[in-house]
Amino acid sequence: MNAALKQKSVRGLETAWLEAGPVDGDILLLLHGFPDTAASWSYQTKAFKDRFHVIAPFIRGAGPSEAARAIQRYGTDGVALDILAILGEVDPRGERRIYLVGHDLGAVHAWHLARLLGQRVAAMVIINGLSLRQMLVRWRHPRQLLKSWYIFLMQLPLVPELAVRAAPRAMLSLAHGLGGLPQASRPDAVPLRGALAGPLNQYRAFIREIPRLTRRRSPRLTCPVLLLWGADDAFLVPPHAAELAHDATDVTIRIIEGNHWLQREQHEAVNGLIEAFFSLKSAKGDPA
Amino acid sequence: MKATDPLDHETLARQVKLQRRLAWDMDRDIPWHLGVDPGKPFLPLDDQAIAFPGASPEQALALSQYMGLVVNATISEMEDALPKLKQAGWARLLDDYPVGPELRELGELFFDEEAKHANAFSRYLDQFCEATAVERRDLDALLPKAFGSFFQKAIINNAEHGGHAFWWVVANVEEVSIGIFHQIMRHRQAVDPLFFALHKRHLEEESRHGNYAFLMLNLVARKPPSLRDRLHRKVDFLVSQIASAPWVVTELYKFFDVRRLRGVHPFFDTLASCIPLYESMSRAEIVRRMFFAAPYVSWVLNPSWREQHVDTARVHGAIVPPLPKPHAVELSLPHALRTSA
Repeated sequence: MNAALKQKSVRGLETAWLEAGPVDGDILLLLHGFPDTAASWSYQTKAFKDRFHVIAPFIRGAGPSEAARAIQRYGTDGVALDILAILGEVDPRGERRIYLVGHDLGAVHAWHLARLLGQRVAAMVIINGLSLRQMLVRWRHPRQLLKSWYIFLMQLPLVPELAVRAAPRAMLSLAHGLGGLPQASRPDAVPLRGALAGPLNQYRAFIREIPRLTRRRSPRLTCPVLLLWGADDAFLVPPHAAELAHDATDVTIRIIEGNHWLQREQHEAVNGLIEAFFSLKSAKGDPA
Repeated sequence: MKATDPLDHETLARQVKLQRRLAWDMDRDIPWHLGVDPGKPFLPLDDQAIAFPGASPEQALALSQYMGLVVNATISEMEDALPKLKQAGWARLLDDYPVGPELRELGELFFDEEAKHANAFSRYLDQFCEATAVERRDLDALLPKAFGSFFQKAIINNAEHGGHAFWWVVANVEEVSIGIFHQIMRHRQAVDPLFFALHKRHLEEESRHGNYAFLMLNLVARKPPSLRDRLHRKVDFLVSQIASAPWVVTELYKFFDVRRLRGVHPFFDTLASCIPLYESMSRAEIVRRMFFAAPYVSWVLNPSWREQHVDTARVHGAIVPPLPKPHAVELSLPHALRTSA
C-alpha cells in the first residue's frame, strides 16, 4: 500500500504509525480497533493517499507500538495523548484540517479525540463502533450484553494474555471467524507473539473509565458524523436513530450489507461512501 | 412490482430523484374541468359475480358507478388514514433500524403522495355529487369510513406495540388498486373519462412508490429480530386480514342503507331497486361470493389473489390463511351498458 512506517518515542514508549500521501494536505486519521493494526486500513490508505495525508497509528501495544504496563495508557486519555503527539509530529503548527475515521475500539478513541481537537476536525466517519457513552447506555440492553460477552472475558486477569500469547494466530482467526469476516478479507500478516496482549487492555481501561464517564459531561460534537454499519455485525446491535443525539448534532447513519469489518469486507462501498461524505461536507464548508 | 432492497442506497437515491421529478400536481395534472359524466359507468363488472344477472341497464349503470365510488372512497379513506399511523408504524421502525436517509426521504414522499391521493379521490366524490345533484352527506352514508373504526384502532394498536400489520394493509391496498386499474384500462373508452384520468394518475405514482410498503416489509425482514419482532413477523399478516375483513364486509353492507334514501334522489332509488337481486341469495352465499367470486371485493378479502403480498408473507414466515384462490372471472361492462356506452 506504499505507506511508510514512522516511529517516535511518546512519553517513554515507542509509538508507531503508517503514513502516506501529500504531507501538506488535509489529514485523514485512521484509528483501528481490536485485534487489528494500522494495516487493517490498507484499502483506505490506498484509496485516499492521493487526496489526503493519511495517518494510521498503531494503537498502544499493537504492532510496533510498544506495550505499556500501566492500564491507563490504553484508556481514552492515554491513547489520545499518543495520537496528539503523532499529530504534533506530522503537523507541528496544528493548522491542517483533520478527517477522522474510527473502527471498533478505534471509534471510542475517535469520539474522544474529536472532542479534544474541536474545530480542527472537519468530519468524522465511524465504522461499526461506539462512543464510550453509547457503550455505557447499551449495557442496559440484554441483546448487546449477550453480544459483548468477550468484553467480560477480557476483564479476567492473565487468562486472555495467556491465550493470545500461546496461540496468536488461532485467537485472531477465532475473532475473525466469530465476526464472520470471510477468509479472503482477512489480513495476511500473522500477529507477533504477544502483539495482541497489550491492546486488549483497552477493554479493561474502558471499564475503569465508565464511573468517571457518568460524572463527566461531554459537549456534543458539531462536526458532521457518518456512522457506517455492517448489517450483520456479530458484536454490536444496530444503532438507534436517536442514540447519537447526545454525542453529535449532525449525524448520518447508513446500514449496509456486511459484517463487523466493513472497511475490509466492503472496502469499495465503504470508500465510496467515505469519499462522498467528505466531498459533500467539504463542499458545504471550506474547500478541502 | 419489484421491491428494492432497503440497504441498496444507490437505487433508493435514484428513486427519490425520480419521484420528486415526476410527482403530479392535483390541481394542474388532473382534468377536473371534464366533470363527472353521470351517463358513463365507472368500473367493469362481472355479470355472474354477486347479483347482476337480470339487472336493467339503469341498475347496471348505478351498480357500476356505486362500485367505482366505493373503490374511490376506500382508497381515499385508507390513504387518509396513513398519516395517523406515520409515527407509530413508520417513524418508529426507521428509528429502530435507521438504514439510511434515502429510505426516510422516500417515506416522507410516500406519505405526502398518499395524502394527495386521498384528497384527489375525495374531490372526485364531490364532483360526482355536483354532476348528479346527490348530497355528499347522503352519499357518504353508503361509502366506507375508516376513521374511528375497530379496524383502524386495531392497526394503530398493533403498530404501537411494535407490529407491522399496517404495512400489510398498505401493501394490500396498493396491489389491489393496481389490479383495479388494469380492469379500468381495458374499458377506458367506455368509462367516465375523469374516473379513468384520476386512476391513471394514481397508478403512475403507485407504481413509482407502490413498492414502498413492500420495501418497509423487506426492512422488517432485514432488521435483526427481537423475540417480539419474531412474533409480529409470524402473526401480523394474519392480524391485518382479521382486522380488515370484517371492516370490508361491514362497510359493504352499508349498501343496504340505501333503502333509507329512497325518494331522496333517483340514483339512490335505482340502487335500492337492486336490493331484491341480492335478497334472492342467502347471507352465507353472499359472504362466500365476497371471498371467492366478487371482483374487487374478493381481491381485498382473499389474500390468495394477491401474489406479491402472499410471496412477501412467506418470506417473513408469516401465517397465511389457506384460502383457495378466487375464481378468475372475465370482467366486462354489463351487456346493456356496452351497447349504451
